[in-house]
Amino acid sequence: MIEILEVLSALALFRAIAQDVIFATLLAGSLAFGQGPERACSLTWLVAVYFWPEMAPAFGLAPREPVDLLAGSAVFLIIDAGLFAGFALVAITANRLYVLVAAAFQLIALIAIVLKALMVSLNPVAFVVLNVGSTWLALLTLVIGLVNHIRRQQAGLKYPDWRWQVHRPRTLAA
Amino acid sequence: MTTPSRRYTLTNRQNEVLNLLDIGESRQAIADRLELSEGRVSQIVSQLKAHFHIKGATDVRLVQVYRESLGDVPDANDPIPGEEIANDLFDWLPAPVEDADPGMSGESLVPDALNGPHGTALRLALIVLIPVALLGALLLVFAVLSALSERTDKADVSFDTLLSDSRLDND
Repeated sequence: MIEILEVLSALALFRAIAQDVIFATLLAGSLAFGQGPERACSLTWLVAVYFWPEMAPAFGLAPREPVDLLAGSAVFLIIDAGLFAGFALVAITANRLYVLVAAAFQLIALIAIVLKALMVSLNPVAFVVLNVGSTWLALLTLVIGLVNHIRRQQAGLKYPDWRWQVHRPRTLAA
Repeated sequence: MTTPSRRYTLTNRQNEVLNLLDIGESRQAIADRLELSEGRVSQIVSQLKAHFHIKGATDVRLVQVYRESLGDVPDANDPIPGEEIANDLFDWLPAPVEDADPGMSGESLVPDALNGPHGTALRLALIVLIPVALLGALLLVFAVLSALSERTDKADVSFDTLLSDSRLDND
């Protein structure tokens, strides 16, 4: 068990850098080639992961000092809650399916944080796999969604960004 | 009578929609018969209007142009099937979105149910059900693995036993 934790800790630095690089690419790609939902998801990640943790201590929602992920700090709770709220909002309004999947993965990360807070005996490896793994899957889902969107655009397909722009069946008898 | 070159540039789906419009079916009825969304039918109609260079025209006009292209021009006194209904409809219905903006097809990327009246509830339910299904599958896998683990403990099977390749032992 200790060895696995050591490996995970060693991977943590690489993971953070890789996540930043992938997100920077996603943000640039969504601003350049994406439409409303793609940009909304990227901006959600930008705010929730990079700005919100800086702002939260000012509101007394999180401690100011850096914390360990395994400590189950409130910082990570508000990051994951912010990400989930943003993705869920986009998912229920966008004309995209992948955002639903990203929101679902993010819900798993949020559940892991809540479980960690409720269950002191929660296996640390299980917690890290559930929390970090599902957040990674959410990020990769956004990347795949953006790539698919770009491919559809290149194929000349046009479609609305939001569900209220999609044609609904009209009642001819009205 | 027919104009094959023009006719054969249409896809099978476009021909189906055109033929159904020709017999006076509404877009909704066509969508039902071909098991498509009405948005998709509207998109095909838009493509057909672009094909016949009559963007912004009514469906009735599309049918007329289609018949002319086939050389089957009806007598001026012949009523076009569904014409009266269509004219009444187009008098008060707002212009279809695809006519106002040909670049916007209105095609949905999600199942129609997710855009329906209960779309929000269904989407939220999906967001909850996907993790439940994934975690359920994960727990099932762990349960199977732990059951297997218990059995192999009793049978005293080691990794060496499992990974040994009998073909290599022949040397």
